[in-house]
Amino acid sequence: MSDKKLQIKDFEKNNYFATQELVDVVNAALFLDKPLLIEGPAGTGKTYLAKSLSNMLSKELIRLQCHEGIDEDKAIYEWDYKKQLLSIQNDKNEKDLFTDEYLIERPILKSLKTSDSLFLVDEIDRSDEEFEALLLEVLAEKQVTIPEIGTIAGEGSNFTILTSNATRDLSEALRRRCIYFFLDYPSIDIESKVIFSNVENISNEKAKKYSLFSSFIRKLNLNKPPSLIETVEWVKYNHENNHGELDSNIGILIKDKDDQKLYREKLKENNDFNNKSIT
Amino acid sequence: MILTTNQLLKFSQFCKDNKLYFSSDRLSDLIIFLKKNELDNQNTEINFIYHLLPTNKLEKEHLRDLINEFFGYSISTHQNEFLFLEEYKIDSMTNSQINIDFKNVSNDLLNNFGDIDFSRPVSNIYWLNQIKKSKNYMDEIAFFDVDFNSQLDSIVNNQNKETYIEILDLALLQRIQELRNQFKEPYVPNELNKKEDLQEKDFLYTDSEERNKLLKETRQLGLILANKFIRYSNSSSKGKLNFRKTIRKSLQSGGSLYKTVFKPQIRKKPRLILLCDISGSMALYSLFGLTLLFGVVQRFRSVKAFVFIDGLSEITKDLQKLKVNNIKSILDNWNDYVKVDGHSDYQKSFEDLLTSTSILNSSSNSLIVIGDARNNYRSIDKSSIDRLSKCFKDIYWMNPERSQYWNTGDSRFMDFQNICTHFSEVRNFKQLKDFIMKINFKKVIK
Repeated sequence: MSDKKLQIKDFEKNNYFATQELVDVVNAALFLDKPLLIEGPAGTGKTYLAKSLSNMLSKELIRLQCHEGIDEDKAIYEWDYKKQLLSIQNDKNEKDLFTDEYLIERPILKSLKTSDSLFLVDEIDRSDEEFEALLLEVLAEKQVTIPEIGTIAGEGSNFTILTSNATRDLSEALRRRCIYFFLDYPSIDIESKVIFSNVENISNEKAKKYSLFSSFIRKLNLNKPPSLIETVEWVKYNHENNHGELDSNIGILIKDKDDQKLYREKLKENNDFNNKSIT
Repeated sequence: MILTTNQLLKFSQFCKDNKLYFSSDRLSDLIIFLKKNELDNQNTEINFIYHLLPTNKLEKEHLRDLINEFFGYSISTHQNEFLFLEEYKIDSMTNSQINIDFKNVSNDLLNNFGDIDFSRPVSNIYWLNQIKKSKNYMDEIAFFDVDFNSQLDSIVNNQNKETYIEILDLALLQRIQELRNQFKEPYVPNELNKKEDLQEKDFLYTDSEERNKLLKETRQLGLILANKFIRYSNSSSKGKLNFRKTIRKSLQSGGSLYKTVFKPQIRKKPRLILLCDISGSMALYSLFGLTLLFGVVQRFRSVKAFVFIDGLSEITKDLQKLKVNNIKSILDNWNDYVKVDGHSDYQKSFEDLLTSTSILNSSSNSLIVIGDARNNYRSIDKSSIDRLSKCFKDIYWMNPERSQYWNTGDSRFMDFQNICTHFSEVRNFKQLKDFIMKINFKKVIK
């Protein structure tokens, strides 16, 4: 159990703007020494949270990007067959071929062997359910079992973060072993802070206006609402190049043809409504 | 720890009674955390109950309501935020910030409205709408009616106005409720009675906001269904050992056999066939059916999706091209799927399915039907039903009609019940979820 308690300002120093709720959950996960499962739409800062935490806690970040078909060879370990064969050819009396020398460490094993690491399992929902089962031993016991060697237990204080875009339901067994947090699109306050810190020469008020505008877009029932980073990039480009119109460069913000059409219609509606109410 | 262990156990029991279960290790983790951290007030401790117990988003939402009911404490959600613009010209505004006491504002609005007879059996919304029409209310929100040069400012202004009205209306509704509670038998309108679980609410009675939320979840169920079928379809994918290739491969490693090569197994992959009745009697249920189809088609290619009224029409490719918000367009183009008279004809639709050679190439196919089996007093051939049963390994049927009305009038559901692997009434999200979870595509035995 960790005694170190993080504060909002620790996150802000690392350029991550978090809610008190998220800080509390991270502290609880650190205290209980349990993995943290963060679910939420794409582009809300789940992976970036892990990167910031690795800085804050001075832990080495080890990342495992999940995808369909990922298995233990890619995630845990693999035997270096070629090296084993070569050593048999060179020395006929080769003793043991299943030692650390011939073991290729993959992220899970590497994180267990690294004494102070933050292990990020990114987009776990993209992997198969069988892979989730593989993770259970690592998450609960902090150890992996290699049949030829035995059980390798984790060293030191390691912290695990799992992220998911919720494209499929994760198993109950995996969820049960984690502390859960749903990271939604940011509040106006958080988003304006992010814009303010990432866009040069922007006033606090203007940043807040853009974040209110971004919340307006997310209410439009788009197929793919803009993520935080897309909003920041759009504001950055428009602000630094003095593009005042809201329908310029929307390719940065909205990446779907139908969504762009809907967005333009809503802007027009808004204009018409204002003209009407003024007259 | 301010909350006692006993209180937490009682709360856990209360959750169980309300169909929300937490494992004992989660509860013990929570107690350890609260004991060791010695938090300074009860509300902070309750916040940690909310953070540490649930394992998914639905549980979190459910738990929030239960905490409110049990502890009388509401967990704060995203706060509505304003950005007060200089153009508003409010005297008390400093640094774009202003603190408005909405409770006082709502009180003033109610007091200035005149005599209100709260004993009348009308809903709170009625009174809210009356107050919204008053001049005082209009004056209260008049400071938003400003001319802005910039498009950004005018959108920000609209956002501010919407949020302001939303909070003010909520404060008014709460005040109206408080005043009505003073009467002996207060009238509890539906809009404040949040006890009804959305998951158990009939699709037919959902409002547009609830419907959007449920449709999103339904699409997720489609993905789950597709995943189940993918697992079944991928099973036993390895064929026999390819001896020649294995030996040749071993030459790369000096003759050592460390990689075996298998022949690809040539077998017809099982297909999933989905049928959704979109005739008039299906009403809103067909939208949920189509959304489920959409979820499956988006995740899995080896699937065929059809809609039918009085004949079958394939929509697999249409669904693949569609965006999630446009599913309704299929129902908007209802006429395109009418073959004869627009009244549902299960006999003709299933005949079309059975004669469709492209799908009936494997006896390991599974069929899922969403329909009420109301055949408008047309006959259904027994041989067609037998052929249907032979052509599909499994047939699953979701019937959106109440089970007590099955086999009454022109319903011919009884004819199909015998050949179904599983059938059930599906009128709400919970029933739909239960149905999907029960589906178990068995492995093909060769």
